[in-house]
Amino acid sequence: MNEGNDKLKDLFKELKIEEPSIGFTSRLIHKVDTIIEAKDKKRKALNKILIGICILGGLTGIFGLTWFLFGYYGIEVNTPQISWPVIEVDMPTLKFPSFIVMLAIVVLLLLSVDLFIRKRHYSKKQKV
Amino acid sequence: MMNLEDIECIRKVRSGDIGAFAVIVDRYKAIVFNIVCKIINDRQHAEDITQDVFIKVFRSLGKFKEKSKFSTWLYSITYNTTISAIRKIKSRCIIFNDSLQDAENSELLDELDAVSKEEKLKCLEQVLKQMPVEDSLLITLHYIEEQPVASVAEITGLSQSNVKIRLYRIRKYMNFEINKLLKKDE
Repeated sequence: MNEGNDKLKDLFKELKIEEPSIGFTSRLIHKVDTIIEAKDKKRKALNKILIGICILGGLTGIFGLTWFLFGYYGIEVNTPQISWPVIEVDMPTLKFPSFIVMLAIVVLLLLSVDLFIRKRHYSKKQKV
Repeated sequence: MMNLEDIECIRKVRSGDIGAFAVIVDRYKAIVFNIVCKIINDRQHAEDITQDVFIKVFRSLGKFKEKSKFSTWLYSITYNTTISAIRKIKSRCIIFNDSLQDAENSELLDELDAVSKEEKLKCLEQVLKQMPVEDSLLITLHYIEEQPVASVAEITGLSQSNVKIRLYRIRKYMNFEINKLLKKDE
């Protein structure tokens, strides 16, 4: 079919050019805004879950690893001069020296402070 | 390479500037809507499809490689979105082969030159809307948007030789159908 003498092509060129209605762009941008908002909400929720998982994982790791290592090597933590009272935890075979309990409390405190600082930093960033 | 302004707008959108996306929409909405409108009758539905096209563009802007033209990428999204939207509402399927058996050397007949332009355009629109959606889009991209065969191949994912064959068959079918309609009206 000869394109140089294509009557169909000429006819196509005569077709009316259609345009969308007035306000199309603003309606579309509004929809895009809604999509962004929903995406943001999802991301924030996911972040919260991830932070929670990280904290839980970190705590489990710290306690678990310490417990395992101390148990595996049969290490007993005794400070030379101070005789720490042994706190007995009501568990089948475990006894925690108070030093470890205190260490865990310190770690928990540090984690809380870290979380608090991060939250403040994040809210400041959001305001900017 | 693509229009520099397009690249700038896309980069701005990627960095969170929605205003730049509005610029892209304003630049291309008429083109997309015009293609969709040629395929379906309902303007409202055509607007919905156009909206879907731009939302898909926004969502997948991160995947866009700056190696190709933005317009080619946009046409490709328009092509795929329109096909799936129309498949959802109805199955437009015409077997060309039956009609084409009678359509030897089909061109628009010279004897129909006397028929008014409006009448011919009406027939053209009618034929365009009753054809399979893939073929309507193919011929629209080639004739209305004046995309060369290579671009049409890139947009549709077909080979260049396949596009050429299909365009030939579509032209033949359309000429045959328009001639038939015009003769009937005479």
